[in-house]
Amino acid sequence: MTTVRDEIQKETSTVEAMPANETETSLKTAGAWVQLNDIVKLYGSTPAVDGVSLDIPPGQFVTLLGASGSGKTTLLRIIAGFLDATSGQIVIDRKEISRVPVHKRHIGMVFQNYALFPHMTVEKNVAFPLARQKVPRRARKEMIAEALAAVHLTGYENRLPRELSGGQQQRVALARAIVARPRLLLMDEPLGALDRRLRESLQIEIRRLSRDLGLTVINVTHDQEEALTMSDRIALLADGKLVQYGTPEELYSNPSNEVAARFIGESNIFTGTVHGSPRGATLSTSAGQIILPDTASAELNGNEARIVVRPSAVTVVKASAAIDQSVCSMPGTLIANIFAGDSRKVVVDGDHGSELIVRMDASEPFGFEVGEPVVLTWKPSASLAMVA
Amino acid sequence: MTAVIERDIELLEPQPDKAPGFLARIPRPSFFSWIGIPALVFMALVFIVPLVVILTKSFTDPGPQNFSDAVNSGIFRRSLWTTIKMAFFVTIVCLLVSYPYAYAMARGGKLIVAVLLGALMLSFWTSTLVRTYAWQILLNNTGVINKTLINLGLIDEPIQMIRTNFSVYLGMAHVLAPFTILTLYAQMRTIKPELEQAAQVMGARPSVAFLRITLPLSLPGAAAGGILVFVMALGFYITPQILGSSRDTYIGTAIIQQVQVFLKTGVGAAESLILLGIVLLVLLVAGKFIGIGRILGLNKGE
Amino acid sequence: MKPGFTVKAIGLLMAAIFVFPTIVVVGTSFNASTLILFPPKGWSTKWYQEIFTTSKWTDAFQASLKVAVLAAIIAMVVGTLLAFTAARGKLIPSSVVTMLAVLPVVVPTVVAGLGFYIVAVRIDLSGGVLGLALAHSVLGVPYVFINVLAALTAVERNVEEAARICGASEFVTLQRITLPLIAPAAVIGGVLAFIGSWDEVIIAGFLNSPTFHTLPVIIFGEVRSGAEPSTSAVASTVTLVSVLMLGIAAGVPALRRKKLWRKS
Repeated sequence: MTTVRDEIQKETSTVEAMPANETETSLKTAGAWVQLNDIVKLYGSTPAVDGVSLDIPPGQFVTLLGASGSGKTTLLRIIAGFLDATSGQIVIDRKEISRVPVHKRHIGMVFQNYALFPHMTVEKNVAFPLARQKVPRRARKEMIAEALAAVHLTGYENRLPRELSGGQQQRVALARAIVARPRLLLMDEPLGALDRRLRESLQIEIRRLSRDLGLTVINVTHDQEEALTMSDRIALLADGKLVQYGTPEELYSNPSNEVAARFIGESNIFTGTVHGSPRGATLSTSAGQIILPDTASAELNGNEARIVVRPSAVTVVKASAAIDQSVCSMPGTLIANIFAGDSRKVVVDGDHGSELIVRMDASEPFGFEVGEPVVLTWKPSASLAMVA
Repeated sequence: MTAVIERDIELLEPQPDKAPGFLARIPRPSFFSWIGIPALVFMALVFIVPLVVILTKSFTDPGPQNFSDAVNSGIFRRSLWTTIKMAFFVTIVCLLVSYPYAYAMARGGKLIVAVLLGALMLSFWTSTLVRTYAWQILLNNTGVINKTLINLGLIDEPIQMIRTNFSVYLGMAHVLAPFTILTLYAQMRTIKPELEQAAQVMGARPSVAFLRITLPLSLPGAAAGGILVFVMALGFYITPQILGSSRDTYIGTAIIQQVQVFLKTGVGAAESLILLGIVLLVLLVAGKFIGIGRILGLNKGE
Repeated sequence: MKPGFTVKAIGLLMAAIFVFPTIVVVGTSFNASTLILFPPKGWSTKWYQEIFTTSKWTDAFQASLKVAVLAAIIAMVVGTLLAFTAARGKLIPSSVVTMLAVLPVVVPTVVAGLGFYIVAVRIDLSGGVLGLALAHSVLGVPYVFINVLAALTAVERNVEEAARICGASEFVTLQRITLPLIAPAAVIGGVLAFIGSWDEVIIAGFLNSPTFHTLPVIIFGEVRSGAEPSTSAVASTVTLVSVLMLGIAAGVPALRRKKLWRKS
């Protein structure tokens, strides 16, 4: 088994081998290697973070993803040093930093509400970390110019934060976070306060910038789309625990459990008991028999299990259509047909009370009426079986 | 994955522990906790000590009979009644005049708001003493109002306005109305105009919309402002002293008289405590219903 | 719903009544006659010449100014410290701090004045700038406290955290971020404390001496015994100072904002 670290080394070396990218700048740093070891944070006796361990290799963009209350922000604030962990180690570049005060950690951070200094101009805001780190005055000017150029805000030096739009303020916050060349950048829902279009363009920009600079980024969000778009790796958290840590593809195509399956993307989930050994095993559910994928573990036999089917893997056919015995099928009544631009979402009321979702290409012809009985089919190989 | 991390951590060189662990774990006493202590001591020395001294004086100079002397004093008993009656009337007058003013300020156009707010502020920032002095000039027997009325031939003899209850109530209301106006205005600003519009769309006349929507919703502000004005009026000294009749003694005057004319500091202290007690009682009882913060929340900076 | 004609008319009439007394006092100060007449008979600035050259008035003016400035400074320091403790401290419950800070608003001035008087006489602080300034500073504390507390609550925690992570220690964060952000509120509070002291009669009356009076004490005496146009001139000057101070305190931050905006 190749370790995460080996894989990453391969990846980072490919990134470095890439031809000179568009903002070749002296802001470039080697990213920090961040290791969290069994971090626990208790409030009273309630754990906000419950034994999280993460290995974040240098230069990676990692997103802590989770619903509110999952502990993702608490974890980020522990890394920043605003909170002390009840137990566990934070190791950055092989140094345990739990006892290092916030202002000596040399970390960059972007906050959700920008947290710009309202009484300082853009230039003074960006100069602030340089002054704190005793960068000689002569060098500051150039570093500020470079940081502002990196976020496309050259010329805004003398503006006050309140004279900028939300997107511009967040760019200033980004410039301020990277100007002192930290090796680690933390982002606390950086795009949460922005509207959708701005959010999407900034997602791409932040991703490009972080790649160009080579720094390690830990980003917190509850927006799974943002996590999928931006991250090298996603750490999915729920109830203070790490649910799954892997690439966006891994989390989407191979969720390790139901929580992960529900959180990343839409899912149709069936629960039941497995009968039979790997090949040809079926799951008996209240909605009928479902064929397990061949990849399913033999250990599931006789146990409670769940099958996850992504809506895009499901096809709608007429109730009268002949169905191949090797595919799964589920009868139901079409109750909604929602056109969503590039895709079409179809909701089907399963005959046994479950509601199923189908996603299809909007450009395909759709020959069904709402209220019509239909059958949903999917290939067993497109589904995923897991222990309930 | 956990296996990977464990292996990496084991690779770490042991780090010299800079801060001894047990010290680092004790929460540092917050900087902001202790910077307040000198300020609290200052307040205690400069403000609480004088109040405590009044308390001790009232019981020891010459003795607790100060309280019975105060209560048995006809002047003081009458002053209590006169003052409470005055405070009550002034509060009513303030509330009555505040409603149209605050309403016009909360709902009026830019120009009228600027005029009303400007006038209010100029008046507010002219000190009580100066405004009371102005009313003296205006209400005198030979003052502006009487002269104008005589010149217009409306009256032959000057009307006695100064040194009456009328002049005191007028002067007090003039000084205190800004407080009720500002609390009411703040309250009315929180009432969305859409509510009245909705009521009108449903068929309510403007007056009905006001009576059924704005008035009930503004009552907390009116109550807070009214209590504030009532309490302030109880302790007033300057205005009753300048505009009031010498026959009517108000509490403030009675206290100062005891101390400066009769040289009975102990009795004055006892009377002060009775006044303070009434004020605190009103505030506490009213605070139970509308919140003490709401009553005092108003400050001149708003 | 726009206010109707009647409401507006009542409002405007009341606005006139609010302003009229101030106009009357200012008007009578320009009388050519020695009587207080309104409208004034003949215009003259001789009363202003008188009050700015008579030592009775100039001494009182100086005394008032010294007391008010000192009281405002003390109130700013004490009120700001209390606001920080109430907002951030953990040692003493913030309700206790708040109660102590706003108590001077609740206690009638006559009562507080009597207390100050008894204590000041005993420790020999009566009849001087320091004693009165201390007493007045306490009355100014609530203004500073309430304003600074509001400003402190408005400072977003994240802004201070951003400073910390940029490399600023707790002390530098306080000095470079928090204090500049609350300074305007502290100044407004200080100006209110200044005006509170500048206009104050009762305590100043308790703590005066044959050689130490503030302006309001003399004005009060004259108003009771018989005012002259010079009284009006002093009263007008006192009012002008109050209004100017407030105008500056409220106007300067707004102006500075505009200038910065123009520069870009």
